[in-house]
Amino acid sequence: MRLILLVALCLIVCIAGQGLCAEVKGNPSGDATITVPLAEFEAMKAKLEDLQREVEELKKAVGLPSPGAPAEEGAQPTPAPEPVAQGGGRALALPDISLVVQAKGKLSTDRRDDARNRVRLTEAELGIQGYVYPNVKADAFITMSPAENASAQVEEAYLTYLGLTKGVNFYVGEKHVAFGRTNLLHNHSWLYVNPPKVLQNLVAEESLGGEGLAVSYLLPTKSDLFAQLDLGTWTGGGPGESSNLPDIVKGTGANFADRFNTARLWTSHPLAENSELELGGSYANGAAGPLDGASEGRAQLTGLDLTYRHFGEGTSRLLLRGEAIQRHQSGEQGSTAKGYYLFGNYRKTKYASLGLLYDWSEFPQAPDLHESATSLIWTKQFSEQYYLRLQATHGSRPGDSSYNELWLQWVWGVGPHTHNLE
Amino acid sequence: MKTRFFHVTFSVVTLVWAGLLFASPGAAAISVVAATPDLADIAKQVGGDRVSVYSIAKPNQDLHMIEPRPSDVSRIARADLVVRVGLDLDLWMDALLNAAANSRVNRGAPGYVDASVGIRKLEVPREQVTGASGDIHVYGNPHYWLDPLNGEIISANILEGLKRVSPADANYFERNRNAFLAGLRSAMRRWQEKLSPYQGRKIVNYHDAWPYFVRRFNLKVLGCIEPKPGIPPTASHVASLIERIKAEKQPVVIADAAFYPDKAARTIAARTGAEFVVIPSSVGGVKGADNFFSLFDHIVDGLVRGFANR
Repeated sequence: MRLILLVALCLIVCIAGQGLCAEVKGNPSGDATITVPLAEFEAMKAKLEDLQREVEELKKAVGLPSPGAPAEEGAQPTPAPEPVAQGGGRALALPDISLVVQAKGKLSTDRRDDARNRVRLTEAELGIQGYVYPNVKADAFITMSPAENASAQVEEAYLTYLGLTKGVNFYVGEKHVAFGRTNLLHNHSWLYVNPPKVLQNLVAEESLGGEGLAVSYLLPTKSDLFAQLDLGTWTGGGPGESSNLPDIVKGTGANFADRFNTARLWTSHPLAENSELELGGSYANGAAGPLDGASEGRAQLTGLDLTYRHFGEGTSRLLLRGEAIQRHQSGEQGSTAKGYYLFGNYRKTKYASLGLLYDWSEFPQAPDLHESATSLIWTKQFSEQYYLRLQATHGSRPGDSSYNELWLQWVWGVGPHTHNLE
Repeated sequence: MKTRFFHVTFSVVTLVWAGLLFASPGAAAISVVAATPDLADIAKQVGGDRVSVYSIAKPNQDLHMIEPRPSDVSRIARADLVVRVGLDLDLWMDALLNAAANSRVNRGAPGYVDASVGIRKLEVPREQVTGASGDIHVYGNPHYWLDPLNGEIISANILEGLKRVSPADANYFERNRNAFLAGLRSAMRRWQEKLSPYQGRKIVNYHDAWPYFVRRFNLKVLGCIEPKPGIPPTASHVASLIERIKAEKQPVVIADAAFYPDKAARTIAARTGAEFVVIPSSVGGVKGADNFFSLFDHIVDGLVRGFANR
């Protein structure tokens, strides 16, 4: 209504102005001339210009065409960088709300495994994401694990200050720490059912997380080299989950007692237009919790990771990745445990991928023992929100020189769900 | 021996990496990073020799499934202008923009261009969108660059972005855009002339990427091989499509980009006698489709060949 009134007012003023001019020009004798003081005329002119500007702004606000724009059936570009809503819900100023659920079925020949031969709802992850201020983003992920009778817990809840200064992002809250190539990933983004043994035994059952601060600095390289330094200081990081396999040796993870610090340098460079090589080095240091029979000391985690990706036509992609981790605990009875994994994944179409994983790992609390496994993994991607994965594993672990497992994993989600660069 | 080998290898890798860190990529006045080769080409035509343009997606990649690469972050960190498709097609750009921490090109900044602004959107959902609808885009079909006349709006958005980041070059960019528009109008007459004998004819595509194109040239989409966007074809859907093609009075052409699985398309073609043609859906999608104009030359020629053969 306001727009219509303004347009009408503009038209009246325009017509009146034109009539006035015509009358002045058409009557040189001055008989019927209306004399308008120059100041008043200038004021009217200024008022008209103001009204025209206001009309243009209102037109833009309601999406009407502006003069000078291309004549394409009423569709016009706007000159200003209007933020366009992206993602479901954002147009309504709602946060992005999502739920990702996982169920796993497992067949195993290891009779000590009380989780074998069952299908379990392993996790439901509720994600709430949105901006709370220009360039300040809030992410919260609440997880529930019905299979373990665990109550809901905050997996991550943090603020990201984007572009705090050039190349710098700042994080505060509880989150996965930047250690290794895959620790930042949520488990539904993995390309396997379970993380490699070395990560489970030496880093964390699932992902190493903590409460604290982190800063991410993108080094100002001049070439196409990507180099990002991540530094963080955290509390937490102990073995958050107890084993449900009491008779099977499992690693303690990083087993930081409380405070720990992390540093990671992640570099990457394109090898060709369609391929990329990544090299990363990670370090974490903190007071260690007690290991079996060992007093407390300091724990150090060191990691090196290498990733190669080649992208073909459509959605085809080859990924090769290797990661080596070492955990050292100082103290009266210090110990060092290490391990590595090699992983390859080939995605021919967007509907399916095939992977092969070999992993080998020692245990922090018993470095003289080790386990290894080889897994063949097939993933059927039905849609962006739903996939099914089959994983066959042959391995050996202390007390069982050879076992076989067959995993079937369902992952489904609803609602917009995004993560940082993975 | 092993230790020495390790030290030598480590030193070589470190030196190579350090060399890359400080190597210069060559000076360019305005660095533009575009989401797709099509937007990159239009940016190049408007920006002329005063811009260097890089496309994150490569020709013949499925734009819904781009995996951002870390080196793309470096490019956006140095960029003066970022041009994205919008309409939720390139949501992967958000992860790159966030990681790049470049306030000049963040959403709403002068160097941020959403090329979809002002586009008259087609297939905007009018009912609740759920997973049952397939991988549907809530703001409408995002393949709008496949209507060549939308090049006018895309180029206008890019022009405004370039003028914001380099006002001194405004006249130069205006002249380039005018040349682009002149070329587009001239080419448009050529494409319309070639397709005019086939008005009303129907095509079948793998993915629902062509509503803008068929609307512009008065063609029709009989159906898609995907039963719903992003959902793989089922035997029953393919059988139903075969029956519909057979029921058509005029022969139907099956056409889509080379990167989509072609097994179902070839089966349908064999059982119905329909012509199957591969057409590019982005600049660089086939040899010779080097820019926005030659892209449509190849699309139009491919369809004309398909229609004429039947």
